[in-house]
Amino acid sequence: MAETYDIVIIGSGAGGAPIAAELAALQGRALRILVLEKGPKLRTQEDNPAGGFSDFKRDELLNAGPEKRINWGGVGNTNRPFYSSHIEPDLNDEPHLWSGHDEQDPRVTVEGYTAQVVGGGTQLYGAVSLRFPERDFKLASADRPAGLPNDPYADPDVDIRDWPIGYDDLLPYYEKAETLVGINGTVTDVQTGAQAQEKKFPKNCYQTPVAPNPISDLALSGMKSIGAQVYRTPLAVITEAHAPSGRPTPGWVKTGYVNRYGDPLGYKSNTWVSLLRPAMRTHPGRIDLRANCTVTHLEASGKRISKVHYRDASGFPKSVEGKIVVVACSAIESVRLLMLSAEEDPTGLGKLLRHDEDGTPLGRYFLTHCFGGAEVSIPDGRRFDKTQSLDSDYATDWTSRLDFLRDKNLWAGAAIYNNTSDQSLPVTLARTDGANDLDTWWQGFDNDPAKTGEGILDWMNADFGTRLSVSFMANQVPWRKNRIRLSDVRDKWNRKSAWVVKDWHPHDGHVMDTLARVCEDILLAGIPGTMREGQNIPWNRGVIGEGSVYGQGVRIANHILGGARFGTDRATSVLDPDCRVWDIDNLYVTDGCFMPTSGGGNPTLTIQANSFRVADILKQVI
Amino acid sequence: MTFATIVETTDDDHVLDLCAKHLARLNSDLRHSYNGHLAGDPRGRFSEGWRFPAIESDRQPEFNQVTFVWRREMDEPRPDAVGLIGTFRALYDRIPLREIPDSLYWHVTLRIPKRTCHRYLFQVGGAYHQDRINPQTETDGDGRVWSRFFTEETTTPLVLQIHERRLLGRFVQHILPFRTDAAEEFLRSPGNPLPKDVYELDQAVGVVNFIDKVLAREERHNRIDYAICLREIEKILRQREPYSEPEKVSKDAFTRLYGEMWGQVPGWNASAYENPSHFLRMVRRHVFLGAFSHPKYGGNAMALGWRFLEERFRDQAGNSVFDWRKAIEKPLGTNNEYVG
Repeated sequence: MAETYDIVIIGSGAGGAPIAAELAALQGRALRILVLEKGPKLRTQEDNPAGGFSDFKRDELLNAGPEKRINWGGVGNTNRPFYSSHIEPDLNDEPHLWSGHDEQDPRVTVEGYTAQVVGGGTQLYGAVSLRFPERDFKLASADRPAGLPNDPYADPDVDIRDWPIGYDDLLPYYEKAETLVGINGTVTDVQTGAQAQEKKFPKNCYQTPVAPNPISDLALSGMKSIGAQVYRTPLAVITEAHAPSGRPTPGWVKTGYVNRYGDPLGYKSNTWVSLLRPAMRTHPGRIDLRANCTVTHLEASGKRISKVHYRDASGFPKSVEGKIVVVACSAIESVRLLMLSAEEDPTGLGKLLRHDEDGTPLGRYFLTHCFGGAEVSIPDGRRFDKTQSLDSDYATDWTSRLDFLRDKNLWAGAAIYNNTSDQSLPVTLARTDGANDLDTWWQGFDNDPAKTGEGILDWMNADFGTRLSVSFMANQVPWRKNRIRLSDVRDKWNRKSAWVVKDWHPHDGHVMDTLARVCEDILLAGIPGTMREGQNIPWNRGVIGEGSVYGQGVRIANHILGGARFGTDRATSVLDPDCRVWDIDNLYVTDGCFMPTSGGGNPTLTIQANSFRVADILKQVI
Repeated sequence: MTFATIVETTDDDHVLDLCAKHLARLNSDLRHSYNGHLAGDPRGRFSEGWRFPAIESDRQPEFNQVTFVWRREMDEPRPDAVGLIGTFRALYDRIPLREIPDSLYWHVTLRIPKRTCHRYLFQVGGAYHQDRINPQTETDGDGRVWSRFFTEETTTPLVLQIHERRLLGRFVQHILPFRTDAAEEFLRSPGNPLPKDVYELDQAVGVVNFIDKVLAREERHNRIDYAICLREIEKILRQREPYSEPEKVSKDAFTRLYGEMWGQVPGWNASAYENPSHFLRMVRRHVFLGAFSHPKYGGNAMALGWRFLEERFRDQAGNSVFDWRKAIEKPLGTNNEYVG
């Protein structure tokens, strides 16, 4: 007989951990909670008191390891190299395929994967933890300019849906997430003290940020010059003792080993150190965390999930039962799991999910972000030690304001923030030089004859510690043609892999061109002596480069959202407003795939807040 | 010689955390046999088999903890016992492995000195076996094939022959910024605690050793590129300067060849290796990694590469803009919290 739990949660990252932590703390009932995580549980130094060593390291080679190669025949990049961190999947074991809408010449890609480890993507992310602006929850009904550029078929009118909840519904959960996760930042303008974030903020739940990095002042100056209110970027890194998670006052938090690194010291507020570990300590025995377990499929009986089938650390088949089942594997993998389950259980779950029909919304409206920005090598000789950085210091919601959107003919807005830790370490500098995406690392350095001998010094003189960037994170037009499907390429468990079919909507190009120009304007105004492209300057020092994932041809970008959006209309959504799968009584999906629109900001905090919201719903039904 | 000691503290869950991502699977395809370099070898099934045995930090900074893993096949009978012999102990001294209950895995963790290289075999059912996961092997004087591993900071040559190392050493000089006036200035700077025999920074920094180690382990599949292309380079240099050993030819000869390798190289045997620029790009990547990645990988010896950047790049107030010591563990760095 299978083991039975009150709740089985698949995935320990931003979508799963908040629910586990909340239900473990439920007063009056000792629920039995199982968390199944595909990846290992890597220890912080605190987790390993015997030796004091963490399984994460400040080690560039561990972070973006040796060359591996795509070993799949029949794909567009067979035998091409790729580089992944020690907690990302090996693509020859678990490939993702990507192609455009023509579905021709698919390529295997590292884009669109989050980390496979306890804590999920929150172990590697850059920790930028923005709330979405209030307008972003109602983009279908919100006022917007008529006749958007590059939108001949008025697609936003066809495909955009309002979220079935609004900012006010999520507000208490944003506050809970910020309090429990451990985030530093500010609500108010850094100069005027007026509220700077473009959303209601009745309660400030942030820790005090550490002193900004010196070169960030140039970005601040640029943002101010365009009339923006500017706040300190919320970052999921503790700067003070954090009582909810029991983490003591941190020592030196500024280090270049944050973005794309797991933190050996636990200052970065991933869901293991901030939510799961404290819950397991405070409520021992309530959470059973099983790492290295790959869920293969779900099985339904009637209108309920009756079994969760998985492979354990050896690969032995196992199954468990849960009164409630929560899927939170990250957007692509969650959609894939639902589709695989429907195929595995065609007369049960297959009838409920209808993944192979043209009309099904499952897998449709897959989203990422419109992403890009501008970067420059500061021309006045100023350098900053980026190994002592917490990355983003200043942010503005100025481009989410309605007057800006009207002026620029945009359908939705963006958050803009500066980065100071780009290429902070020597290997990272060379690896990412000229790279368009995660798959093209080393291309710029390897292919540039000038970067040899004295040329390496010239290049470093220009770039080492001098580059400052400003990035935008904008809504992408939801498009039905952007979808996740199953491919015939099998993973190491002989399961069909996910195939991401995605192109950019033409209006996305306008969004990105416009916002990249704004980022360029910020740098141009903030940094004396800089100029737009087209100047013939050695090593382009002082020449601002701007671009976007659209212009550079990047395939996916990191934030993976949509594919199982929630809504009030079961014909066009997969989940109901509670994130429960329509017509299945006990199945919930809580990673980023629930989002109908991608939001003008990094998504992790919103995924966490929504998971806290769903946890409250589950408390009522369990 | 310091004998290895058994570390009793390693727990089963941690071993599974080391193993499962790389080893657990149903598919028997050789998905990790890049260019067929593990053709027909079941070790080509495993992702990153080179991570085994697992080399980890130890509280004693001169040692590594080395975890050996034996994984039986799913349809294979469970052995009564699994043992380990190796050059880290007396060869008659069989070290028992512990079975992780309800799993396919057996393991033992040993404390082994850094900068050492060893052979080992597993004993299962009375017979001796090479490691089924680790692709590194070594043949002894009697022709017996053993499994092999090396600990952090090892400098013993493993893969590249001596003439290859010398040739590669010359080649590397054309990539790194260590034959520049700036590097000379760094070497002459007062108080720079370099070994007295260091007169050329690019040799001291150990890039060739790094490449030797990365070809022995992580990028074993790229060894064939080095073998073919270094042979071609040697042949061409002999043709151009027939009275010099290839590693001693003039700087001009190397510079010319280096430049030609971006495109066409007269005399290059394209049927042996079609595109010399592919090799050039790979060497460039390896050289940069060797000079500036963590010294435990065999390059950047004594953190010389990092120290060069530390001195070279400064802010307007004269402070270094690469204070790597502040982030890195003692005794290499100065961080009081991160232990490495």
